[in-house]
Amino acid sequence: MRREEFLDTLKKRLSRLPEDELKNVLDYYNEIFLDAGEENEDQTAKNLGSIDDIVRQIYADNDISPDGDAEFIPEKAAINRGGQSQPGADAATATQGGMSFGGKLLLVIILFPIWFPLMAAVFAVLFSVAVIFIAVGLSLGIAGIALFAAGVVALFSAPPIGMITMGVGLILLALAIFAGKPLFRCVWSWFVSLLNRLTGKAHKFFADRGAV
Amino acid sequence: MSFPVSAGLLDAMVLSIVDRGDTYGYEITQYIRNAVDVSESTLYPVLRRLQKSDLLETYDREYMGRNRRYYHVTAKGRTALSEYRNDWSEHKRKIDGILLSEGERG
Repeated sequence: MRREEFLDTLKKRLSRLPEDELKNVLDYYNEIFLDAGEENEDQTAKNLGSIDDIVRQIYADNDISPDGDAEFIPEKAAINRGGQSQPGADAATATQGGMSFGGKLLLVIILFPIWFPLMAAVFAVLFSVAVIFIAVGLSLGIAGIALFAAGVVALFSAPPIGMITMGVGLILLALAIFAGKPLFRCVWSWFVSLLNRLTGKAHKFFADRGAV
Repeated sequence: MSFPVSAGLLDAMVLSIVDRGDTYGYEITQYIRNAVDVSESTLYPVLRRLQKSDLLETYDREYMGRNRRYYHVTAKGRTALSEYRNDWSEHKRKIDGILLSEGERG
């Protein structure tokens, strides 16, 4: 990697750093490149190691969490929880700096009125969508079986009509099997992956705020 | 094998290098690299930390049409350096006592 590319990348990745701090970092690395010599830029960049590590270290030194959206300050988090917060929880966060398992649990319980209706709504929508897809497959199947049975009965009074009805019933049944099975599987796996993602998000939400 | 170098030891080494005469980032890192395998990226936080705790101060000087940042040890930095040196010789003496003694134990 060349000097300009390295500095550009670093600048982009460190965008949340205060301006004077960012300038200081870029000046330092610019100087290292220039002093090491223009002909050695690739080697210099290699020696500097991974930009990921550099960025992580600098954000950590400036008390900015590397992938969270803001700094985590225990007092602020306590204020955000509003008047509902209990003295025990504040004491726990204040003394430990981070948050204990008990503190996490308390936060989850306090925020229950917010996250539970949201989760319930999301579940309801997902569930109804899943039901619609499964119902289409199922009704095709039932209609197929019913037509086939009707065809068998009709076979004795009017053989041609009975055979046509049976045939249509079998076609519907086949459609139900063809359409219903992959549809069901697709909806199910989508549903499961969404659940996973939601729990992952919830975990990250707490991790970003220093709870883990 | 290589022995890991702690942050405190790096601070002390950088202070000692700058104490011999004001110098700039690249030169400091090259001196350090003679002794231990660290990158310029490892030394940025060290230099920044020493500045923030007022052990080092900086000034810019022009060099070939650009700025070069020079580091200078403050009075506080010199005090810290002599403490580091005492701590190090004590530490070194104890380690040597274990590692380099070939005689009987005790």
